[in-house]
Amino acid sequence: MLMEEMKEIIEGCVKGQKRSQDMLYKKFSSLLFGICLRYTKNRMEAQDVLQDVFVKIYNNIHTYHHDGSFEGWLRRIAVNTSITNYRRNLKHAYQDDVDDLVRMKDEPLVAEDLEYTAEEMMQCIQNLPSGYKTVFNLYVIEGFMHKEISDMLGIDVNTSKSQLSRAKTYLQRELAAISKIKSIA
Amino acid sequence: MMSDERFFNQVKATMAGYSPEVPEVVYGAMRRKLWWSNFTRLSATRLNVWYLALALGAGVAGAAHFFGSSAHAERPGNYGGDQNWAVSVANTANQTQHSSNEAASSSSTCASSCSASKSCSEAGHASAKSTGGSSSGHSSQAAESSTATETMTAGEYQTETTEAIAQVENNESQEQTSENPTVSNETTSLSGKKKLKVSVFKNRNQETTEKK
Repeated sequence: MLMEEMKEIIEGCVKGQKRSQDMLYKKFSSLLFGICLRYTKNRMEAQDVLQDVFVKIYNNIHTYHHDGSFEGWLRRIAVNTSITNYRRNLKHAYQDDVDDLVRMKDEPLVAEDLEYTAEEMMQCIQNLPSGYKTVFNLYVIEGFMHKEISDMLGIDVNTSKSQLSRAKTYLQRELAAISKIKSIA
Repeated sequence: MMSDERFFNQVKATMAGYSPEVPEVVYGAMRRKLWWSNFTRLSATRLNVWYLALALGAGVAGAAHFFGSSAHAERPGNYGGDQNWAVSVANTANQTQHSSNEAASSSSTCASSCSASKSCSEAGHASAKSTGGSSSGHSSQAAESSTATETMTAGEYQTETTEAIAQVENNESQEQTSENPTVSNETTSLSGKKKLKVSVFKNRNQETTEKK
């Protein structure tokens, strides 16, 4: 899509034109849905977060001043909304963490250098406990530092580091299990 | 076992182009959320929940004022609560009484109603004074008072009117036995202010009659 076309869409959204809003939705909904899926437990929750993301985008698009990447701006809104959703569900997340820690002790660590599809990887990330998942996404995929993550989530830097380490271990186990199933099939 | 850095890069590369299909229902739900968000947002330029709340509040306040005032007006025997209501009732009673040919009885009843409501139109007194008249015709006076009572539908006012009639009758009986009615009125055991007002009107009526 051309820069001029994108600018027109943004200006239309600023004016509240439905046509421009629809075009923006068609263009970026898949990308933002992928981000929401990474931070949530299932597709239903991701759909809810995606709706909130677009509401925020339409309501705040007048604050975008064309001084940076528009896609980056959208991604940041999606990440922030997902973090808000994570904080909202923090009580339930703690219960998940305890359950999964018990599970981790029982399974052997297997790590292999194999190719995985995005769907498989997404499935494994979604199965991570909420705390691990959020830290892992922020550090590995969004590229934030531990200090930034600790500020964003309101946790200690060491907690962020330990959660990343555990997330990596957990994910490697999950991926190893998938590769085992693949090899059998 | 692969290193952390390598593993993270692999995950990042795999997830980089991931853009799953979004179900159709999400769009409809998003539009509804957007509408609600705009509706509840504080904005002066569009119809929103705050305008509706203001309109509803004004409507409720108006209805409460209307029904509250009408209910208050229908409440019987309330002198102290609404002074204007008492004044209007007294004026109604005065108009009914002053239209009668029995001027003296009218003036005495007016005085009693004035003492009840502590206010009365000066026109009522003036007409009573100018027409003057004798103190006869107690039956018509009672009829006049009952007319006023019917207009008001107020139990307490009826009691007061009856009491005033009794005072007037008492005064007149004393007037017949005494040459100086004012003095006799002042020495009677009936309570002060209303009785004095009635006696003052009696004296004025007598003076008017003498002048004539």
